[in-house]
Order: sequence, then structure tokens, then C-alpha cells
Amino acid sequence: MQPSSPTIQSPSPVAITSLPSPPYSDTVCPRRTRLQIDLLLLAIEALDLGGSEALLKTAKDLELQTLIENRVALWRLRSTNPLRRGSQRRPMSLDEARALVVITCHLAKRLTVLLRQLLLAHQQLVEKNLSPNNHFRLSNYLERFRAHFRARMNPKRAGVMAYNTDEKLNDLALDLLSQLLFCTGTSGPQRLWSSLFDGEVA
Amino acid sequence: MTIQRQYSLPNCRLVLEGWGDNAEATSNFMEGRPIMTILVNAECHFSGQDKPLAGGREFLDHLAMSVNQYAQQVLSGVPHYMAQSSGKTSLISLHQTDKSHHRLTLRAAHGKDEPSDKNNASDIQLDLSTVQLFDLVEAIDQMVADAQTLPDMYLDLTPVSKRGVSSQEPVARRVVPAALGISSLAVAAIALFFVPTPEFEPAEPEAETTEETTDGASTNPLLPGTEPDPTREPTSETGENSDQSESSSLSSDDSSSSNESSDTSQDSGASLDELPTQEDIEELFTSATPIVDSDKLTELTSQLRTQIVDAWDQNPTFEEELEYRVGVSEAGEIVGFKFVNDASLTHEAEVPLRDLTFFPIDPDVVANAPIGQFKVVFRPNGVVEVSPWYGRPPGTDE
Repeated sequence: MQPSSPTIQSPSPVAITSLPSPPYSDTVCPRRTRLQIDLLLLAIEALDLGGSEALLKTAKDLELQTLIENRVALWRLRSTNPLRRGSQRRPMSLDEARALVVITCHLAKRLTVLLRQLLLAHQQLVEKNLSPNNHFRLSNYLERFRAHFRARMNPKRAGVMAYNTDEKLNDLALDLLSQLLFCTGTSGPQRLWSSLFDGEVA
Repeated sequence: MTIQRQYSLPNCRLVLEGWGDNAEATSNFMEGRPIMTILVNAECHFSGQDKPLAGGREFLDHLAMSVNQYAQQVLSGVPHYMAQSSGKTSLISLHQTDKSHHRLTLRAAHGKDEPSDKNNASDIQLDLSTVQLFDLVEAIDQMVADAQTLPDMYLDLTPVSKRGVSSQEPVARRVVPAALGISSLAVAAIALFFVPTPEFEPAEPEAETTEETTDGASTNPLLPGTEPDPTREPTSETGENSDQSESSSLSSDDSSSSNESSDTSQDSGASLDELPTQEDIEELFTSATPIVDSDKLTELTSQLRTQIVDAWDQNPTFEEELEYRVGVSEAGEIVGFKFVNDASLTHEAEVPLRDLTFFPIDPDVVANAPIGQFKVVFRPNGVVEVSPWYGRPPGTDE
């Protein structure tokens, strides 16, 4: 068993040391960071049926258990997304965000082939003026993403109401798909990490 | 000796040609992979494009910088203002044409640096799909990560600042919140214009009143011995006051703190010999924490009865019972009392309650202390009855 709040005492796990401190005065993550990380993970879960299991396993493989102890801890972290049903007002520390970024990129890397396939398929469909439903894998992903999103986000929040149609949710899902592709690169974690603070630093 | 490096991805191939540092080159030669420190030529081939983008070190630097910024923009959705630190515009610029296409523009200005480039007359534009763009990003990442190639290149990623974002917002959108604020202020101002200005009823006399009453009250215990009838005394001065004090007793009966009673408090306070007004006492009775401990109540009951019986030395002249509601502090001191029936007011002078009332120097002390409330009945036959106002506990809750 790990202590419940080890971030203060123990040094940061090796996996997250490559992510620099943002030029940002606060010690907790801004709203958009929490939202974006959770959405990327949601997209991963829609791509990969065993995504949520893989999430925990990756945390273990990367020795991030000090930050993400178990399923409940992960759920609590993801619930810091302000759009979620039962969103928690607990803050997300920078180290916790780092851990999630590293995990996201690790999982995205495993899905590189699928990500490229889906994006190429979407591009071809757009060129032929066809809807994404004509591609089985892609429509499958979009459907699952919509279901996940609607099941987990609080429909009363304005940020969720903005995605009130299938088309808008599809657009979000496709955006996330290309964002995940950029996470797969050699410097994916650094790029994602830096992008999470766009518009938040002084 | 020329060193060539190639970073290949499905849609993009980055080819670099350059020289190694001489001393380094010889030492590393045996290891097979000398360090390339000087770049001569960089070429960027895209699948589906026959002519590569090409240039020198400046081209490569600008390419890396623009691509870094643009990739971050794709990831965050926050537009990066492509400002150059040096102030001059980049050779390479990228912008989005539609959801899945990105246009890369190579400015012609660099043609003079590169005589081999035949397209120096016009800018080169390439439309890249997201996957092609990613391959370009990845090729650059691999090149930067390669310690044997141009070790002075590093991954330069910085989040765009708040200021950078806010300046991106169109003026119209930035003005909206301010306009909304100003207009709602205007609406509120107009609405409040029609609300009548409250009449200035100076609060000071009231403050004086309480001061006077406490003053009068603290001196009061000395008076009754000489003054046989303190309540009557002010009445003789002004006919109006009798009505007022009467109405005050009536209004306090139904335990209301209406406007009327607050008026009377002012008027009755004007006469010096008055006790704390009925309203004050009413407030005290309702605001103070009641004593609920049954033992304490029993003790206080008997204490109060003894106190009153000892002090009551007049023969009663009244025909009906006089009923009072009396507040007692924990120490057994009477801190205030109220008239419950009319007779109790008329014959108040015949009972010793006023003499026994304890007048604290600081009214706040009493206000914060718990008090017990008792019903005290003086019978015409000279008997005094004392019982807790809220009955015996349990059930002392209001």
C-alpha cells in the first residue's frame, strides 16, 4: 500500500521528469488542462475497449502508482474535469497531470496504427463528400465516443450543452483523434504538456 | 567529409547534409556515426510532391519553430500568434484551411540564399493533411532528439501566454462583456431612480433614547422610595404619553415588535424616569437564550418568590390579579418585566418589581446572558404566585 498523498514527501517518479514546470504561478492545474486530459482519455477509451484497464496497467508499468494508486484514485482525478457529472472540486496537482499526460501518450503510441487509419479514412471520406458512417471502424469510434461523453458529462453544464448534436460531438471526437496522433510522436508528452497550458501562463 | 542524415516517415522525409566538426569527426569516425554540427542543406520531401522544400540552416530553424507552434495549436486549439522574437516574419508559415488540412507556405524571400531554388519568384504552398503534418512534426522531433545531428538544436516549446490569447479575440467579442456590464448598471440606475428616497428619520434620537433609558433606569431604583407613582408622573406632564405607554403595553402583549411599538419606544424614552421600554424587554426576552435546566428553574423560582414576598410590604388595593412576565438572570436578578394584563400596568406602583429590577451598567452583558422567564401573579389577597413562563421542563422549548 502506498501512502495516500505521497507527492509531497517522495521525489517525482522517473517517467514524468521529462515534463518541465510550466511558467505558471499556481501549483494546481487550470480548468482547461483538467478538461482536456479527461477528454483525451475518453477518446482512448472509445478507441480501445479495454482502455480503462490499460490505463491502470500503464500507470503500474510506468511506476506511477505513487500518483495514481488505484481505480478510485484515477476516477477521482478524472472527476476534476469540470464538465463531468459529479465533478469534484478537488484540485489536480501538476504531478498528477504529468502522470496522466505520460499515460495518455503511452496509450496513444500503442494506438498509432489505428489512429493513422482512422484519420486517413476520414480524410478520404471528406474528399468524397461521404459521412463518417460509411467507414465501419470510424463510425464505431464516433458512436462509442458519443455514448461515453453523454453518459459521463453533466448535460446541465454550458460546456456540455455546446455539444448537443451528433455532428458537434463527432467533430470533437475527430479533433481528439488528431490530437492523439500528435501525442504519439517522439516528443509527444512534451508537446501535449506544453499545449495544456496554452493561454494559461502569465 | 559530408555527412548525410535522413529521417523517414510514411509521408515525409527529412534529408540533411552537413559537415562534422573536424576534431570531433575524427574521434567519432571509428564509432561510425560522427556528429553533424554544420548544416549545408536540408530537404523536406512530402509524398505526392515531386519537388522538396529545401534550404539552409535558417530554413530548418524556421521550419522547426513554425511546426512546433502550429502543432501545439492543433493540440490545444488555442491559436498561436506567429510572432517572431526578432520581429521579422518566418520563412515558413502554417495555417489551417479546413478541419483536416493545413497549408504550409514557404516564402520566396529565401530564394537569394539558395541559388539552387528555381522557385524564387513565388511562394511555395503545400496543403498537408493532418497525418502528413504529423509526419513532418515527427521527422523534426527525431532530428532534434538525435544527439549526433546538430546538437545545438533543441525542442523549444512554450505555452502561449494569456496576453497572447486575449489579443486574438476580436474586438467585438471583447466589448460584449463590458457593454453588458455598463447597460445593466444603467438599467439598475433607472430602476432605482423611481424608488423613493427613504425619509431621513434620524437614528440619533433613538440612540440617545437607549442611553437615556439606561441612565434613567440606573438612577431609577433610588427614586421610587420618594416617588410613589413613577408611571403616572410623566403622564401628568403630557397627556399624550399615557396613551403611548398604554399602547405599548398592549402591543407588547401580543409579543409583536411592530412599528407602533418602535414609535412608542421613542416617545416613552423621552421621559427620563422610564424603565427600558417594553419593546426592549420584549427583544431581550426573545433574543436571550432561555434557561432550560429544570433544577436551575426551580431554584430561580423559589429565589424569585422569596425576593418578591420580602419586598412587597404594601397592602394591595387592586381588585383583580396583576400578572407580569419577568426575566431573571442566572444569578437570580430581575433584568426586566412586562405587563401582561391592564391591571398590572395600572397598579404597577403597588408591587415591588421595579425596585427589585437590576439595571446593568452595560446592557450588552444582559443581552448575551441566558435568562429565565417567569410568570408572577400578585393576588388581591396578598399572595404571590411564581411559575416558569414556559411551564416546567421538559417542554421548555419555545
